[in-house]
Amino acid sequence: MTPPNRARRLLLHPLLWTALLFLALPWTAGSDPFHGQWSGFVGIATTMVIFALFASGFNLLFGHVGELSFGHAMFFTLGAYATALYANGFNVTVLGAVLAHGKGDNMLVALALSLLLALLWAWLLARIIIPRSSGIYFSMITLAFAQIVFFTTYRWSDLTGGEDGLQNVARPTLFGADVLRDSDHFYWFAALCVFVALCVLYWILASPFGSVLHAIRENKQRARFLGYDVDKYRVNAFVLSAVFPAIAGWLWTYFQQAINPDAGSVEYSGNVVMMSLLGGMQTFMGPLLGASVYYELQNEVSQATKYWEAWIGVVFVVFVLAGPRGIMGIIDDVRTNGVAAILRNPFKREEPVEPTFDEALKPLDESPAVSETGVR
Amino acid sequence: MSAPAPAVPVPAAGTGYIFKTSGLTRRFSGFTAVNDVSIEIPEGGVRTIIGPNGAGKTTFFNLLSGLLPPSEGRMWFRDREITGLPAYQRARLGIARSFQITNIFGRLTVYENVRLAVQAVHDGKANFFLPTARMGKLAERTERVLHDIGLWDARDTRAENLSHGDQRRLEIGLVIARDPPVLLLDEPLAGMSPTETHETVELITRISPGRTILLVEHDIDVVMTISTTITVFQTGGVLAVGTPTEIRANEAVQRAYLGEIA
Repeated sequence: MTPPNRARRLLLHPLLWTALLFLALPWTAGSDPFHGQWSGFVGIATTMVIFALFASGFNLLFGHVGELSFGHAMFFTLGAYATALYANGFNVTVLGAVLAHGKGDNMLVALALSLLLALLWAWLLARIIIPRSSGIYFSMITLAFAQIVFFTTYRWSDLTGGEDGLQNVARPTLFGADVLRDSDHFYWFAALCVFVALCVLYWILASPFGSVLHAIRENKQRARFLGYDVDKYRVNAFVLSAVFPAIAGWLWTYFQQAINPDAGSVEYSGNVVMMSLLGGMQTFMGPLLGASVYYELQNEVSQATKYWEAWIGVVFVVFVLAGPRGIMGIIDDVRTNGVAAILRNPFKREEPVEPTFDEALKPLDESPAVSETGVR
Repeated sequence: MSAPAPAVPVPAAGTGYIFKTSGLTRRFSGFTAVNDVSIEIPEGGVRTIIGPNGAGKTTFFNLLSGLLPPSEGRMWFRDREITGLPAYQRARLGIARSFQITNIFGRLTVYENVRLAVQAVHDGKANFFLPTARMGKLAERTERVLHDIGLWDARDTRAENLSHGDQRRLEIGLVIARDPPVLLLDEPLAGMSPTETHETVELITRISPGRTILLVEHDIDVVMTISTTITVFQTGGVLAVGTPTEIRANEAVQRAYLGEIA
């Protein structure tokens, strides 16, 4: 392999662009750290990175396995409530037994509980849902299960605080230092956590396991007849795709310092679908860009009109019609066809014969020449 | 270079037959596609199944490969009964099949298509993240298969952008990737130009040594040339079995099938 090729691959590496995006986000949304206008707006950037992780986890299933879950907010909300309950403590009676816990301030314990809860629930659902359904039925069943979680958080007031949720969650300390109370610090903390989680996600997608997921997305029957236990892969993918939203929920609770049932609502489940489509569902960067653009739009448009959701809907429709492969698809088109060709005929384009930007997602084995010098 | 060791032990040869069926029957709401078929298909060679449309050839393939469960009857792969085995486990035993309608991973590259087929051999043993060392072996085997099917130069093309003939060849590549003892090829020549037909027949001949190839094919000239034996299906049952010469001379077959063409 020639060095320029390797340099090019490194330059196009999605994780590099993810890091650059996260470094740039605090400068978006009207914030200007160079002139002291930082703290008021950095909250939007924090929301962006947390939802970038939520959407990316969801998209593991949606974009890479080809199964649309309409209930992924359930894992987000489970992670968020586990964190809030651990941090604030609780005292409830279940079937005559008293369950109680004092306040907790170890954020790693909160993370472990969030992951455990989401993993158990996802594994249980996967075992029930996966062998029995795919396609539209899969979407409907995930929606139904998400509603179970939503109404539990909404109705079980003794534990969850009902409609008001849980308030006054203390920000965790970092090695004993109370630095995360500051919004700027919290942004960098969240961005780092999300980046680490995304590195793991990238590794999963670029591994042989990830390529089997793509095979299943493209052709379940063929994958089966090659000898792949397709349902086992779908179960594993489902569970993995629950992990990342739970981590996002953990960050969300600490960021908001409160949580209410909305976090598990259909609206949240729908938002990550929109973010993935907006950014480009079959790419790694897509959901990240989608989440960023979504909140940037929300911020800009909501200052101009209270009907901002309708305008975002319009943007969404235009994207689905003109750029079904999302922002990443547009970037690809510009790189292959040039801007002029796209402006001439925005609604009809040839897809590139060879994969382009996505190629960075297949780092090791595109051809043997590449695999010899694999970066991993 | 030999193929990677399979994750599941393939039943050893020695029974003399590659497949045996007993009373194999498949009904579709009122229509019996395969009717009480009890045959033994000998190990090795090109074993072709011919018959008029609707004779049950493809359904028979679907039963053997596990795409459809039989309504009645049992079947064996060498000495191992496979009647209730799911398709992916049959594939792991070394029963590889191609489909009548091209069945590949359209939006993945040619290289990825073949690599996935090669990688499948290790599935079940190392189903998550293969050690990096093994990637080299996968790459070697993938490269070999791509050269065998003549698609090395097209390796970075999306499979959906290949010509029809190349797609069919790619599917054969997927089928031979794990070096299986038996191949089920369902009309591999359908829709091919004369040149493509010629190349594909050559490919099938080249990969046949050391394996059993079950072939469903309509191109009667090709069938007569490359078959070791021919099994003639008619209305869901076996009408005749024999060498190409015997089949050509068989009066019942001539009446039922060859007569229409020759």
